[in-house]
Amino acid sequence: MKRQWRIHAGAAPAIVFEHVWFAYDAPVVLEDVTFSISRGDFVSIVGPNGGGKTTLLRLALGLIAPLRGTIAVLGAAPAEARRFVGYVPQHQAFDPQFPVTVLEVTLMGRLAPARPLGPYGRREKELAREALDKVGLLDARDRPFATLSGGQRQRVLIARALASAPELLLMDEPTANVDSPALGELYDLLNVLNRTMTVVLVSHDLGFVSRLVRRVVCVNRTVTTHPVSELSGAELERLYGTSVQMVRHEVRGVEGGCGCGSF
Amino acid sequence: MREFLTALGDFAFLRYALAGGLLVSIAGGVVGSLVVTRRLTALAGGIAHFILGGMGGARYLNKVHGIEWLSPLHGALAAAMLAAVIMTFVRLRAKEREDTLIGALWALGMAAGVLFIWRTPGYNEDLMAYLFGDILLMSREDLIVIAILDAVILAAAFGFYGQLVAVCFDEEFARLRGLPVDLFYFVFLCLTALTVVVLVTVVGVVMVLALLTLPVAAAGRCARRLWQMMALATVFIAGLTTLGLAVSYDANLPAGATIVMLAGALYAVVTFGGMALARVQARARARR
Repeated sequence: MKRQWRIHAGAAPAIVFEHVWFAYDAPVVLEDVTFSISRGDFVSIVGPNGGGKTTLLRLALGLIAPLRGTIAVLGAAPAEARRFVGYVPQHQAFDPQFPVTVLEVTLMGRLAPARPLGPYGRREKELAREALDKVGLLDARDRPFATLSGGQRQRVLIARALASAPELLLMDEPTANVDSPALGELYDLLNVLNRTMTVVLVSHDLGFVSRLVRRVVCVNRTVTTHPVSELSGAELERLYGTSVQMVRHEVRGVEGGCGCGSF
Repeated sequence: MREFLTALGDFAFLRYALAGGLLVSIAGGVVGSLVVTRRLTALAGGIAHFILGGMGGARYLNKVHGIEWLSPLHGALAAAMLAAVIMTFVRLRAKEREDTLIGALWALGMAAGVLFIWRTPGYNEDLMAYLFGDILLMSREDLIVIAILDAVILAAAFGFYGQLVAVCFDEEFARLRGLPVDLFYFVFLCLTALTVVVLVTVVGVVMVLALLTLPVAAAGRCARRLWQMMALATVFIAGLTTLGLAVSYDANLPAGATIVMLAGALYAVVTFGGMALARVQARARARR
């Protein structure tokens, strides 16, 4: 795929956090967080509920601002970089009765402040159809969004993000409420997409994550990053406490095994 | 029914009422669809009751202080705009719970309206018209106001259709795509407030929610896209006001309440009919 725009031609890292602090009210959610995700990487942000995963995501999207520290996305301020970021929220957050078709949802990815008034044009529809084709749902384009399965809705939301030709894909809990055959398809799809863009997903599903991503960013008030091969039982235990149930399984392409928690 | 049709030829007020019912259906169908899909029914109810204060206040100033040009419609429009500004401000700035504030607007508007009406000399028939509507009082000026509102709403809905769908479906994503979501919300609340005002002229403060939600909900059961829902809701409201006017004229019943009862019947038929149809289809599929 040809990349049409770049904020900076030079390969500025996809996401850089430098000494970032954040708190909603009194308790500190993120404490002196420093990490960077390079272009083309495939990373998952993991950590316990309330550990700051979602906060990290919202900071990267520029929906909230840090108390201290700096954040750069694709070499720019998060709010400026949004145009080049495809965001995929959790699919079960939507009103199941909302009257909207698959193509209409995908077309939302084409919205921009400078867009002319009136209905979507032919070029916009074409780009939306291409995006639906990539996720394998072109035939479902006229179906109501509400009639799709969880896995299909997830893929429509990915298509919506792809319709804006993003350089960075940010996904929030992509495995939630998705059955296991659909997880396999999601796994393959994300692998293909990672050839042309940086993929960052927030997930508590370590089993899925460790098979798929190359690095994990572990968040629990502070942040540590690891290549997946180093993700050990001891590390997970430190991150989640002792209540994590450990499941051992082989990691593709990596010598030895790796501990994965499911909870 | 024939009686109604003959009377329609004879009486201008009946033709105004019919035209008023048809004109409000556009505002009601388009804005009502957005209110229902965004689940802002309670907010629309709060605005409806809040404008009673405006109508009462305008009538008080008109009668007691002799401000000739001021009519209850002006008061209703001013109160509706005030409610829209307050609700937008609360959503964007204050940390007060939205539903608490809706309840406060709802009750305080009613209380202010009652106090103003109490202090205004004259018959209480006006109060009944505010509370339960009187489509037969529709004037030429009212029709012009409603037609202008319809034009504004249609232009906004057509020009910003894609944006509207996006903001209603997933506000956060729309914000990330760079849309001025807060401005959209404010304009939407203003249009909702104005629509509530014109619907109040038909069915009154107490029953306006029925006309804003029941035909729209029935349309939502049949529609696959937002614009279909808007169009079908408009047709439903137009049909309900026309039929309600005819029935109420022939049977000598209040028009507002008749229209609302018909809306309830339509909603029941579409909802339970839809459920029964789904069950029959499921059974047929199981047999296959």
